[in-house]
Amino acid sequence: MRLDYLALLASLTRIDRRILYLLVALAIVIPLLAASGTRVTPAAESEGFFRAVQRVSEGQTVLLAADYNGATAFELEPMVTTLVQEVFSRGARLVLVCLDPQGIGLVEAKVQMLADAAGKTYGTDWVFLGYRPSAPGVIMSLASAPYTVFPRDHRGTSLRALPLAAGLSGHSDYQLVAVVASGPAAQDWVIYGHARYRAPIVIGLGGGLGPTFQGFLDTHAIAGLIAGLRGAAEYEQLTGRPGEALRALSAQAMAHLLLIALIILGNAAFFAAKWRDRPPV
Amino acid sequence: MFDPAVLVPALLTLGVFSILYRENLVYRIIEHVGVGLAAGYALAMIIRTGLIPRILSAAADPVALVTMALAIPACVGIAVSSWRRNTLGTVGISVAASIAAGLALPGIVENLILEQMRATMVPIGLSSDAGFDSLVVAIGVLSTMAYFSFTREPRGIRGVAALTGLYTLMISFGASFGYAAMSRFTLLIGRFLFLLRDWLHLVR
Repeated sequence: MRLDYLALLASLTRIDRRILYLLVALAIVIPLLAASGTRVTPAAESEGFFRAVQRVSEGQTVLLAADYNGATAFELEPMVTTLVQEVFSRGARLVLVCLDPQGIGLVEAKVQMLADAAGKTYGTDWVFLGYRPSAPGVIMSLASAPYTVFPRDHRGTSLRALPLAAGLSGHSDYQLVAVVASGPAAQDWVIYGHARYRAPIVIGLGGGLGPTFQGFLDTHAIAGLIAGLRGAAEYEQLTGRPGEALRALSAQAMAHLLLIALIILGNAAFFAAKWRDRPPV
Repeated sequence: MFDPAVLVPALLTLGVFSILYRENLVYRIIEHVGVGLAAGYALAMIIRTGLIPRILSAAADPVALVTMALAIPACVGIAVSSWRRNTLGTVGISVAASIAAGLALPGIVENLILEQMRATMVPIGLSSDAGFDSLVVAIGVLSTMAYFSFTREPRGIRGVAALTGLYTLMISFGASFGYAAMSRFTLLIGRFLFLLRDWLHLVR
């Protein structure tokens, strides 16, 4: 019996979508169960991010805007984790803000955990300013008059009563401005913050926004960029702190391979069906 | 596995995944609860961190309450929130929009237009990687501009340039879509990792 390859290929156009979902699930679960390690070759923009953080030295202050929420936490928390670990390990201090009202609790809990692990004291080594509405207003005010927009920290303590925040005056306080954002709020930091802060700006983004910010690297508006899980994994590798991003990257790679295979198969099936159903000459 | 802090999110995650099999009531309930919780939490945070500190600071400084610092913004805020259209509310929105536009304009012109143009106008060539990159960027920019030029029908060299611009746009959109797909897969991996590690303890 001769197998009709054309009909077999064309039949793929009628495949139940639930089978595809199952394949995607398997492509993700199997690498996670196998716990296979992955190595990546860091991109130039990730190295820029890494170098900018490396330039921060003991006693200097980093402003971190962690603007993400539960929906994008898995993509961005690895960036915050590695960045905060690096900042604390260098003996630098951290001023933290969150311009996403849905992410306040997540961000505070994560940095508190990292600070406890590093033996850092709240108020002396790090401070959480919290959330204020209107990102542009907050970005500009933090650079000129921090006490106006944040008279108290997120825990209700007067900023002037905290040793770290007591000396804040504005744009010249920070040696680095790091932004980890899931939405276009990161662009606000470039538009409103680039000319106002005397510190380099580095940005960590959700993957979907990565290409949009490449142009800011060419104009030197930002010193470094890590985008998506891949960027987070590259940063983890550069710092020698393998974490969730590197762990999940093998599952990501497998899912991408499956996606590419499905796109090729889908196109082949489409043209096979078209060829089979062509009108007779 | 039976810790409510893990069990409840795990069951909710499975409930959301159930939409992949078919439409069902459990998914709809979880969807509405999720959206409601997110909106409610955000509103509570905005009131707690934005509104209440303002009211408390006004209570601590009664002079501010009746002076420009708080009285005028409060009146304008109430007028803007009013159901009925009113002059004070319209003027308030106009002033706020004008201030926002005025503050944004220098940064937008500098970072999104002038600096981008400057970064595009760099020496091109084939002798180095940077020079070749610049050549590709220059061809991409000029051809995309040609694609959006509608004054004449794109024929001949103009047609070739417009077609190149179209392909440049498609490659650009493809790159963005690729990143977006990567982002969605990442979130899915996060959920699976939560189920396998935090709930089922199948991975460390």
